[in-house]
Amino acid sequence: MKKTKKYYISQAILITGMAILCFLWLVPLVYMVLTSLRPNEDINLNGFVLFPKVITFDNYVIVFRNTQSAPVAKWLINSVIVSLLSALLTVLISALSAFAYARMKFKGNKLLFSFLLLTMMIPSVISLIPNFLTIKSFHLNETLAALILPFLGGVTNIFLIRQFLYGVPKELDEAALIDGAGYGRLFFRIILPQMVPILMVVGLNTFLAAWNDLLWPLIINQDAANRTMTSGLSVVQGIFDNQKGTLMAVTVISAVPVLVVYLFVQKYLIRGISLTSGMKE
Amino acid sequence: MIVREISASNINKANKKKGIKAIIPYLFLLPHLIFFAIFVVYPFFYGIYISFTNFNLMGNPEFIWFDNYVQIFTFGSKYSKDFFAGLGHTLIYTVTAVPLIVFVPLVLAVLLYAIKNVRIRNIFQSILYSTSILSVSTVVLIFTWLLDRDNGLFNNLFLVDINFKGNAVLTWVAIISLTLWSGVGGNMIIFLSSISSIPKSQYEAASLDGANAFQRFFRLTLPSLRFPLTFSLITGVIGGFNVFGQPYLFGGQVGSYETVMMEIYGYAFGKSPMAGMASAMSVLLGIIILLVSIVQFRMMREK
Repeated sequence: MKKTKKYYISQAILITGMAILCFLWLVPLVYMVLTSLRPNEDINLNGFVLFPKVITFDNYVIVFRNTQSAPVAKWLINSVIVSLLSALLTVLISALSAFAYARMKFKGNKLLFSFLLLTMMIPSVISLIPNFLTIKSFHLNETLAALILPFLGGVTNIFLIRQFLYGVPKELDEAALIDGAGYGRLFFRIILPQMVPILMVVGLNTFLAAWNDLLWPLIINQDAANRTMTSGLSVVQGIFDNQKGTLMAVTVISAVPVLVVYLFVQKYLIRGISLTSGMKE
Repeated sequence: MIVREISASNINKANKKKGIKAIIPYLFLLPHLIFFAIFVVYPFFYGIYISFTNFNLMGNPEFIWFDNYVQIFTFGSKYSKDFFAGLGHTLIYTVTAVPLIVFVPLVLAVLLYAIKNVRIRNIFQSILYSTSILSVSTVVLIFTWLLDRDNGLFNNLFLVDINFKGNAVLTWVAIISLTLWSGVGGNMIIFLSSISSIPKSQYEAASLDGANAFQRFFRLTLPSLRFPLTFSLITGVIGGFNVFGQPYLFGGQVGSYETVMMEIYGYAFGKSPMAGMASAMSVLLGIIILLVSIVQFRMMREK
């Protein structure tokens, strides 16, 4: 069997090559962690070393002790609150709306939905300044609500959930309605459980988008205490300029929560990516 | 009197019930429509309006017709220089980063698919995708330190002395590298799942017909990826024109890396806000993005 031998060799080469790539891929992360464990004095005195000779967790202590200019613990809490609430509210609001567009008869259904789709073409950059003014006129700047509310008007998720609902049998609705259930009951008791897979996807995407957003939180919340992890990180470079160890400790703190979430929800995330790219599952 | 009142209220009740039933769908839509109206529809029109004013975020905006646009197109003016330099940098990013962010994931997906051991394949996929969920701030801070001139890993490991913030080319090389590191994962997964959905029998048939690996790729794999490829290209280009975080956080020599979004941010929210001018720039950028997306959608449809 000459072919099998060739097959094993080519597989071995391929796997080795990809393993090297994956190793290199992780080097920046490892270097970040290693630097965060070095004392700042050591870095400033000795410069570059591959592996730190002295290991310390001081940098993490410094980070959490600075509650004035870089309240990282507060940023983490803010990010968690904003991302979770964004995800929950987006899921609920989009699911309600998508259900109506997909399953209910009312005047203007098609027209309204076409209008929603049309607005997806609007480049978001035009809305930036007006949304800033709107939030300010509501006196919501420097609050966490400012980081959540503007994104609840999005259309993409409604579109995704509506597409998904076409795969949920309509007989469910009819049976429930004949049994005398109202639309509210039908939605929460029967349709919502059916939508869980797509709602997971929408929720996760919204969570990560909120967590990673930079420009909007940078503009609307400028007090140190009201920043998110991502927008806060953009100002720490100046604060810990000569303390690269501490700077990397902050960076580690920003990376760990999402990486941990990633470990647990990888499956859904990967399914969601193929789903949102418009392919069928 | 009493009897009449009762019957009237009964009729009212019946009407109300019918009325309520007709409203129910709108109640489902209402939460979204409120936010949609306030944060999607209204700002679109208001943004265009502001671009015709000299609004500075304080006081009342004064309508000045096309003045902002005229200034942007008065070549040699400060605003014109800023806008077109920004557009130039944005284009540099878009034409270099976007093709790479489609091409590199394609190569990775093909290589991963060639690995027959699914467990190993999944491990590699998880590692290559893991960096895609990090925020732009995290990624830029990591790379800033990695590429640090004195103490960074790159310069010390390869025994070179490269100042990645020293000139425009190096700055863009750094920005595009970090964009790739944190950006190829998503497209890679899209492509990999499209490739996986091609029936194996088609590959076997092609092999039996004597098609080699390259022929199979160009005749079978690539055509089946047309939709996801176009999707990635469109989202990539839109993202490219909106690029802000990477250059804003990485920095570089003044005048070598500022993108349109950075100019808009600077004009709108800088020390002396010129929201009117920033809005005019936003509208122009918006028009460019819209035109490019329409062209791309057309191309996708024709195929």
